Amino acid sequence: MKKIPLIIDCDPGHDDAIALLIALASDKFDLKGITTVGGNQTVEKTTSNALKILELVGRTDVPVVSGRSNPMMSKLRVAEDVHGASGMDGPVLPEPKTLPLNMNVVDFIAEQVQLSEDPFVLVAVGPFTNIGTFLLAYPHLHHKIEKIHVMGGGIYEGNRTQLAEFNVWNDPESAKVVTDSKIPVHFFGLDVTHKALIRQDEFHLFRDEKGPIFQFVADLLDFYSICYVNERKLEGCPMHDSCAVASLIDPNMFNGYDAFIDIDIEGSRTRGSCIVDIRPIERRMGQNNGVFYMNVDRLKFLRLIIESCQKLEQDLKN
Amino acid sequence: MRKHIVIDCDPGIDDAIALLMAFASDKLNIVGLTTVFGNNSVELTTKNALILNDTFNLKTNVYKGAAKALYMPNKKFGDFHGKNGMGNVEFAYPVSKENEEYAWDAIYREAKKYNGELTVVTLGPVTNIAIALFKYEDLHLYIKEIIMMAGTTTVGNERPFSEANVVSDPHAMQVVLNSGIPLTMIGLNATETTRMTEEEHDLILDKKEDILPEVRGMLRHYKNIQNTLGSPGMVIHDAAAIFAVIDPESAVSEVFNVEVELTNNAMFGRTIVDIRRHSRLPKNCRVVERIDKDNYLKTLKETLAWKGNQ
Repeated sequence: MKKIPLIIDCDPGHDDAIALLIALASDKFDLKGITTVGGNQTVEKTTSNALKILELVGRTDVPVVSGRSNPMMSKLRVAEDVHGASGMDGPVLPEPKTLPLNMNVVDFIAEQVQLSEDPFVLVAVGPFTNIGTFLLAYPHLHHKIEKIHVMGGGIYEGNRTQLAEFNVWNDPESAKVVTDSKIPVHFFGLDVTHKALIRQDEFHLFRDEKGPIFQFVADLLDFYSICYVNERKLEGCPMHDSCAVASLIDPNMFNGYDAFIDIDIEGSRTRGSCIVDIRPIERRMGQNNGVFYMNVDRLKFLRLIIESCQKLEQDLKN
Repeated sequence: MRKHIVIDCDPGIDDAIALLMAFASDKLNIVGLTTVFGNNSVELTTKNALILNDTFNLKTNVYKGAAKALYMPNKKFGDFHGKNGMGNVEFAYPVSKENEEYAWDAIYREAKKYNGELTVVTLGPVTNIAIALFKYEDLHLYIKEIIMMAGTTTVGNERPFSEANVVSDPHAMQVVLNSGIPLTMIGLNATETTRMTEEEHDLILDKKEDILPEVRGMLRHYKNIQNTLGSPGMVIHDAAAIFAVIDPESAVSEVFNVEVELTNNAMFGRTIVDIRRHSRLPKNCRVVERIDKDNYLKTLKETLAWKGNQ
């Protein structure tokens, strides 16, 4: 089977880290690179975290390219309250020995897209500043992108405001460039990611396994649950970013609406929220530019995360 | 020493006259032209830049830029500047070609090459500059200043208080205003101070035989259109802006905080110039208030007599 050529644009980040593990474990992907962006923490920290993860799993063959530090129209607001001072607090990993590729992030994405013979997939799970800038700076490459899988937004739920989710809230303009691009966009927003939980009573599934990958995930969950279980009163940790990757491995794991999706960039209350036109007639009018996901088969999803860890542990031994 | 500049434009009749003024001047070293949508589609404005390059043997590089605003769909382009964007004056199809490089990449490359000595002059929506700032986070270190024909402190044209270049991409204008690069805004309030009376116009244009028929044709169209909109005489906005680049001494200006209204209401695209004496907002933009008309007209006369490079 042909592998999917892929770049993951991320800001690790606890849930980013687990999303990367799933991607690195799967044989479905030809992972061309990991690009980082200022989001959960500064781009310096998210870049360092991406390198640490690759060193942990022994996959330093995957290039990391450091991207934009600030959103298009404003200064970055990090999520230290969720992810800690390092952006990935909890696990103790050595400082990375490897370096990011010294290249403009937008040129890197363009080069990989250009070189690819097969339709490319972009996964974007941080603020969309890198991807938005790529789309603005390389209009002639849009047709080579098959689709963009994003973690962001929500229809009925926000987290930074009533309706705005962190990634879109940080850089609504770049999110709008993505939805305006006419490239099919698959949105995994808070409606579905808050259902994609690893419940607190399931943390032991990771802690009980010996091996550095399982321990890494267990440590991530412990820290991440301070915010999500103790403060936000969920039953566990939502694996936001993993949804955008898992759905490429098993599309049947998720379902949602085919719809026209737009981003509000100027509302006094709704800036940074998603305008998803799910009215039945509008959805049949043929204006749809993507899919907005609402539900996940949680047990299937949990099994994929565990199997991915097992696979990476096995790879480490070989 | 000549000022090193890139001109970002959307020709356009007034862009065309502005370009002739720039290339005729011995004060400027023009390192390239970048094109953008605005008066017309970027395909047409690029073609027109190449036509000017050929007709006047400008021997310059042309780099194509943005086809649309950052966050808005393309508007329908009007025919203010004629169906071909050049006053319906017939020109041969251009033989010169645009460069492979995109506008934003060329601006960054030239800025680094001139290492802090490059001035960017914009005559259209500033979308290319915004994309350059997005793509190259260190660009502000290498650009000396950006001088923009944009905005207004008084009355607008496309909307009651909004000028067309800004309305075409207000978000891009705000990105540039946020950039920290020294900025100068030459808005309608300033270009209007160079408006020729009917008499001045006739003296400069109609009774002068050494103006190329193409130039005369373009300006005739431009004046007729302006006059149908209710203003007598003629003002060549982009040329007035270029004149202020060539001869900054002739421009009276002051530094203010400038922001753009980004909510889609009646004020969309208004450049809000904070003239309050007690304002504490950062003074991010030099705003030109008026331009010495006598000096401008002298330079314009020389421009119109220019036949291009040998």
